[in-house]
Amino acid sequence: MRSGWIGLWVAVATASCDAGTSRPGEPPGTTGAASTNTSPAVATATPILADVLRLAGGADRFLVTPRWSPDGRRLLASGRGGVGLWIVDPASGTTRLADPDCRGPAFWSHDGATVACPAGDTTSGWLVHDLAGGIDRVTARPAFVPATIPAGDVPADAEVLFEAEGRRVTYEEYRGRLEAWEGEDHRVLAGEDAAGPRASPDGSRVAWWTGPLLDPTLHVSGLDGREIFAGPGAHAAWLPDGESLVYAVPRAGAGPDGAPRVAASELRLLDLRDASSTDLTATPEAVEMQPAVAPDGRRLAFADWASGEIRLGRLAPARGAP
Amino acid sequence: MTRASLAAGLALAILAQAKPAAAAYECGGEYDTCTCGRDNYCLCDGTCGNCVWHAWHSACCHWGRALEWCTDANTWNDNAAGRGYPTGSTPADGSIFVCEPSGTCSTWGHVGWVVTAHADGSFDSTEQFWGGPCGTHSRTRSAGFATGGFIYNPSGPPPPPTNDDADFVSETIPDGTHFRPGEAFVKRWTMRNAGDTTWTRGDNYLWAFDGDERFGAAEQTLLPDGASVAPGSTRDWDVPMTAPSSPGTYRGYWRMDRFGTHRFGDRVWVEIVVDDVAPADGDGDGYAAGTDCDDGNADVHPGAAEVCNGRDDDCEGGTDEGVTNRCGGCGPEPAEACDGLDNDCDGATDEDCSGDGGTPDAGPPDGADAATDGVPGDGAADAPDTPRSDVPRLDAAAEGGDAAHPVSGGDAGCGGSAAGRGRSLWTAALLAAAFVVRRRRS
Repeated sequence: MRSGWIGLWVAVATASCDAGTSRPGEPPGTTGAASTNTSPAVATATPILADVLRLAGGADRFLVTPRWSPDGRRLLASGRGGVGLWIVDPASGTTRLADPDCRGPAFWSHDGATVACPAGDTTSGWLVHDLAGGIDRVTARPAFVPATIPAGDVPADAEVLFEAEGRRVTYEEYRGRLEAWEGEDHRVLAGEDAAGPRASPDGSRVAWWTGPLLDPTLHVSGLDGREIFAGPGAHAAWLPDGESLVYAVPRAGAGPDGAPRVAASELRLLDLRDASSTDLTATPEAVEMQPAVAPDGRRLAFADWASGEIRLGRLAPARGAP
Repeated sequence: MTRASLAAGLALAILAQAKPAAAAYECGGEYDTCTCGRDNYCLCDGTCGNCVWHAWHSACCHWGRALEWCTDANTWNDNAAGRGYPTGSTPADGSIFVCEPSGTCSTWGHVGWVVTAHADGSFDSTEQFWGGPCGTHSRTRSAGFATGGFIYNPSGPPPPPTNDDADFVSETIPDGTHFRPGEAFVKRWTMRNAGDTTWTRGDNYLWAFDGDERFGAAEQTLLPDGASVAPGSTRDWDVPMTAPSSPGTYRGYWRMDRFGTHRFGDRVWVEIVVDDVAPADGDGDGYAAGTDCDDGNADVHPGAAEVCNGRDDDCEGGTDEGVTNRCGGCGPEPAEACDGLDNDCDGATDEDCSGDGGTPDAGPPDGADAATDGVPGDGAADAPDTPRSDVPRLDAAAEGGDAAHPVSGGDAGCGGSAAGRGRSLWTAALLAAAFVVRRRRS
């Protein structure tokens, strides 16, 4: 850990509480008064990010894409370019290589005993890794990986993002098409170009972005198609209450190789109860991306694409918390 | 694009409207305006976009190269590989991504142009779609979307020079070393760093299994934390292994790996022979334990003659099968005695008894016996014979299987069951009682 980093963070987070909120589309810190909540019932739980530490990765191992286990006791991470799979202990930062052949994001089984990741070859197979030991290559999609269904009007499949109580959200990456079903009602939330969709825990809302990651637009919509939010951002991660989400706001710039890259990024918290946005980070030297909210909603892991580190912070209630 | 080619392109565009199967000057709102030695001859196919048209167009514009093919997306990998185009699984700025035919990318597959590769393996792309959505789309693709990998610019900057190299120095466990099935061993390879990079764990240098038989070994052997192998120095790679369980000759390969980058240096192997070890034959009868049901007795083995001895001599699972007497015991059946029992197991009781109550008659029935004399209806019971000491006496203890009174080589009577023995006991007791009554009456 770099000296003074946590202290900096506490200070930044505190500042965010005081004056860092803004309306969508407005630069942070310019409309502090606008964040006033009118309902006491919802004014007590907006968290800030504190006690951030460098958990894993860095100079010796570039890690990205943190993903919490269902019990919140472990994290998955991928290597640079999405290659390989590591398991990180969030308590100690201990990191071990689980599978060098993974290509792309991994998924936890519901009991947290198994992970699966795309094999990355042309077989479209999956590597299933039993954490007790052993890797099995399978060609079928494991049951705990989100299912796919025929997209209907194109010969491609759609991933089922959410399904419960007659409500279903599907995503077809080929066209970037996002659809919602409630009983017999069918609605197209995004006809094309949607990327990285995430359904809220209760399936009533969906967040996604459009456009390239160098200049993305974050969208949040209800299943009725009503747009709740649209503004710069990507990589949404819902909090358990489904009322707020953390997202990244990447900005393009010249990378170390001189080519256009995500050269800067900060994390923000979007509170859908009043559509206010709160800065969670303000570190120009870091490129905070891929936030992952722990199942308990109290911890936030994210990747720094500048250093290759997985970082971990505490989501602490603020703004009038009792 | 020359004026002539522009005119030709326009003509083709007109043709494309009439005949969909024609090359297009325009597709999805883009125009074939780049110079790469030939016009875009891909089909737009009368739709508002086609992924192959856009990918070909992008290579023309950015690589200055006219790809030699413009067939369906599901053929692009083969076309590229067959023509020597560099390919790989890592997204790179200015490359062509390939999504193989699948549920993700339709039955025809999909191709597009990678604008910017991101740290997590996702990438920004520009794409067109056959059949819509229309136009050229700028979007983000997830890591792993390009299941077919990427085609790189063959004229682009060469990949960073790799100065990693490793030379084989020595090994333990020479080729052809024999092991028993399942036997554990440790193979050591000594490798010299023949490059100009230093191998460290932090830089992802490791020793990796590289194909064929793995012998139950780990796929990767890591350097210890803090260890480094400088150029020119050597490293011993010890890999614990286990011989396979089946006889045969096995070989597996290992190689240096800079994880996530490439494998390099000499590809070395371990080759062993797993012996067909014959199991032990403890009694020397030619049959090994496991086949021989009693490897401590040379008279017992498959194929041996079954004899009546209370054991399974031929290892067929039965005891004394086919060699017992009528009563199920060994040797001749017991002699019949005039005792109310079927001693010789012939189905008759006290046959040939003359009425003396104890000794079978030597001659024909005397006409004075009861049922036991073989002549029913004679109306008179015999007086019991005087017991004779030379005839086995079926006393209660002996009939009951008393060990102190073995009868006929093991089990008295014709049954071996406890119930049978119980019945015999009762019969003997009744006979004894009858004898006493009769004696008293006489």
